[in-house]
Order: sequence, then C-alpha cells, then structure tokens
Amino acid sequence: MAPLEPYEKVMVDTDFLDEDEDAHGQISCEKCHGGNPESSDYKAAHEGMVKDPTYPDPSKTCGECHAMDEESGHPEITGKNNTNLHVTLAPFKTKIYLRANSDPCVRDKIDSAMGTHCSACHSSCGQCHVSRPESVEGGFIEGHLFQKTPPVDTNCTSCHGSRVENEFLGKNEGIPADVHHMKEGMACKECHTGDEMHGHGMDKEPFDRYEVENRAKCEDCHRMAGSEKTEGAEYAADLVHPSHAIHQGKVSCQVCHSMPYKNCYSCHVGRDKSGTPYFKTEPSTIDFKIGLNPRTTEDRPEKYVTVRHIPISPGLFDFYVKDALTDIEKAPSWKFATPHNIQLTTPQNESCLSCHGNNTLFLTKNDVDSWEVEANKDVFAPLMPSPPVRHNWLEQPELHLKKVDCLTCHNPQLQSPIKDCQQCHAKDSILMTTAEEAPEYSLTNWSFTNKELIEKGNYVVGSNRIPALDLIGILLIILTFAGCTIHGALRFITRRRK
Amino acid sequence: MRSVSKLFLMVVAVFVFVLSHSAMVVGAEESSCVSCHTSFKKLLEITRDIEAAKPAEEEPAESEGEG
Repeated sequence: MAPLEPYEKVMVDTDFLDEDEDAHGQISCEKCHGGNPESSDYKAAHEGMVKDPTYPDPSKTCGECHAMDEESGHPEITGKNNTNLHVTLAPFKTKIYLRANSDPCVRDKIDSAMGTHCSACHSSCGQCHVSRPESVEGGFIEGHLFQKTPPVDTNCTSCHGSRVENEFLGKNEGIPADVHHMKEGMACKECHTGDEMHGHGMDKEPFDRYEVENRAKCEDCHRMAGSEKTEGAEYAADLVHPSHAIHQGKVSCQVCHSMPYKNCYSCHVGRDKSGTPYFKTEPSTIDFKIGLNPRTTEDRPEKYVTVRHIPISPGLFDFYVKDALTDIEKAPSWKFATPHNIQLTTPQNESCLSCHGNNTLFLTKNDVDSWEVEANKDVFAPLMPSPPVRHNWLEQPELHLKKVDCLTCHNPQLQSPIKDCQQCHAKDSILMTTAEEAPEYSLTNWSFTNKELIEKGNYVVGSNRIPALDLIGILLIILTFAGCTIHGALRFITRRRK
Repeated sequence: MRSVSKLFLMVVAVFVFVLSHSAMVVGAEESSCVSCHTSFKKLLEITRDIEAAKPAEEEPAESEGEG
C-alpha cells in the first residue's frame, strides 16, 4: 500500500458535501472535530481539533445516529464499542499480563512500553470507515467519504498484513492464495461480518478472540450432510467426505485444510538514541505445526489444532524493565491459530498416512527453546506409534496399510473400526457392502470383475491382480473350444467322404 | 414567440441549477474548514509549510523484522 502525500491525507472530496453522496457531509465539521471554523489561520482553526473523534468513545459522534442499525439488523453498533476488540485490544493485554511480573512498579513500566509499542495498533469507527488506521499514518480513504465496508487493502490488511494478507492473497512464496479468495473472490467481510467487527457485546471479556460468540466460523457456511440448517442462510456444498465424520470435534478444520503459514519469533522493543521507538524480531519462518488445543471449550472442543509461534520472548521489555515477564511459562508461545490459506487438498490431507504417523507435523519439545518447554507443555502433541506398529495385530500390517484404504476399516458408518480378520476374509465379507470403494456391481456375477479392483488397488480375497493370467485363461478357453470345433468338423468331413 | 419561450426555459434551467448548488457554495464559504480542505492548492501550500517546520523525523533506525 503506497503511503499518501501529506495533502492527500486531509483532502476532502467535494462529493462529501453532496447530500446524495454522503449524508455525513451535511454535519458541520466542528460538530465532530471541534476546532474553530471561523478562523482562516490554520493554527487557530485547528486549536482544540480532534483528529479522530470516534476514538476511544464514539457515543457523542457516530453514536448520535448509529447506536442502533435497523437496516442491517445489527442490534447495536456504537453501543458495543466498548466490547470491540479492534478498539480495546483486551485479549492482547490479558495475555501479556498473564506472563508479567506482578510487581506494580514493573507493571507500570510494562504498561508504558505497551502504550508506546503495542497499543497504538488499534482501530476505531473513523479508522475503518473514513481513514486508514493511525498505525499506518492515517489519511482519508476516499476524501472523507464514509465507506460502509472498509476497503481491504487500505484498512484490513494495512494492519493484518504480514500474516493474514500474505496467507490469504498467496504472497508467501510457493504457497497458493486461500481457496476462498482464489476461487470465489471472497474478501474479508464475507466471513468477518459487520456485527463481529462492531464488537462481541458479551457481558464478560473473552479470554481470547476465539471466545467471541459472533466470530467467523467455518460452519457458518460449511455443514455436514444432513445437519440442521438455519432458514435463509446460504451454505456451501455439504461436507460429504467421510473424513469429516471421523475428525469432527477432534481436529480443527485448519489441521487438514491449512497450508504452511508464518511463524514469528523473539520480539524486542526499545528506543534508539534519539528516543525513537523501535522493535526487532528474528526472521520469521513458514511452517506448519499441529498441537494440542490448550483451552478446549464447548465451542472449540477439538483436541488437535494448528498452532502458530508468536513473537513473545523473555526479553521483550528488557529495554524498559528487566524481569518483566517472570511468568512467561503461564501462556504458550505456540498459540491456537486459524491460518488464512485454506485449500481443499493440502500436503497433510492427501492421504490418511500423510498425517497419521507423520511426526514432523506435530509440535514437540524438540521444536522449542528451553524457556518454552514449560510454557507449551499443554500444547505438545504426544507422538503416536507409527501406523504399522499401531496395526501390528494384523498378519501383514504393511501390506494392509499399502493396499487397503484406511476408510475401509475405519468406516464412520460402522460402530467401531474393523478389527477382526473374519469381517473381511470371509465369503460374506463386510467389504461387499461397506467398503468405500467397493464396486457398484455384484462380485458374484458372470462378467469380469477384476479390472476395477485392480485399478483401485484394493486388496480383496479372491481378487486376481495379475492381468496376464486373465488373458492366458481366456486364450485357453478359446483354444479349447476352437480345438474341439476343428476336431469335430474334421471328423464330420472325413466320415462323409468315407 | 418561440425564441422567447426558449430563452425563458434556459433562464429557468440556469436558475434551478444555481439554486440547487447554492447551499453548498454558501456552506463552503461559511466554513474555513471546507474552503481549505477542498482546495488542492491551499492544502499543498499549508502541508508543505507544516512539513518544513517539523523537526526532521528520524526513522526508527534499529527496527528489524516484521511487525
């Protein structure tokens, strides 16, 4: 996003003054911004002027009209402002305080440092609907014309850039854009509704943004086949793949459908010799890690989730105060994450064995520094024995894993996975009726049935997997009949001659 | 007679146009905010003066990495 020239930042489009273009232009400037409109001297005119009259409290400005929005059906807009995480950054502070030294003097210094380095990245009504956020130096989006939906490039991704933007738009090298953007051309607002953006409206402050009730959820559009649907809601195609039934409630959507994403490390903040604030982070990495959900809730019951490394470090505030984060182990540095680079097919969901038994995907102690071990103890995923070891009750585990589709035995329609040889290796094999890739026709008919089974690589008793044998068998039958026919014909001819 | 009525219609059209835009013009004249913030020339001059008067802002020289 190109920065604006100083005059561009404050240039008001004359359309703003046209009632038909923007009703806000009929309100006198000083009503919202204060200052002295009578003065022609710019210094005197700007005395007492408020640049963003909507932050932190918009009740006297936007709230005059937008406490309720009947048109959009939002119960409240400005009324929920004090629960708007874009304004309050509440969970962000909660997480830092969780790790912080409880000494009040130290806390004061942390507050001061956060005020300089962290809390500036907030938004407000004005910094979404009128101008770019102050954290990216502000400036009108379109000559002070109010934007009902904030533009993605000047507003959403000007703050949510290095992770969300790069993931969603496919700017991380070698990783495609999110399928919702690439195939459907969806923008942020398609999932993150105005209702969510205007605040959660909950009585209790959420522990983190994933506790917000009106947040975006995959299941708002994607439903299991046969599940109850809200009247009037628009849904994508039903989730019919049996993997959803198997993993639902155990594994978050992103575990299967997210591509590798950005992880940040070791942020340190301070001021240089001239007093200018600075930050330093170590190079980020593109990685993909599955960890345990450290905070399962009714709304988020999944045991396995994608986790992202956040830039927290023990020395984050060292410039301002030593020992600021004495309780750094109280919250994980690998945090529950919902990467925005969703794909239908990902390296980890190509097959069951791409994930099951692939220990490199899972977060373990080996992936963290020593100070992080305690902090992430509830996030480390226990490594499971490899699939052949877990299936060692079978006669030939490797052969079964190679030739039998996992879903044949782990069929979600069965009460429990097949664990008895007789269920398959019998005349009335369960595979005849339940195998996901069972042929559509009867295996006991008169036609050749091998071809489909061979092509699919299924391992079924009695199935001949050597096509040459089929050919030889057919030739033998033809030759036998041909021999008999020729022999009979010759005998018939020779008898008539006699 | 025809040319008179044509002239009359033209006068009416101009009158209506001026009337419908007069509120904005009057408003613009009334507020120094509007007259300045809608004028490219004035803003350019003032912002140049402001920028020139500002002490040279140093880049946070030591910032490294992604925010």
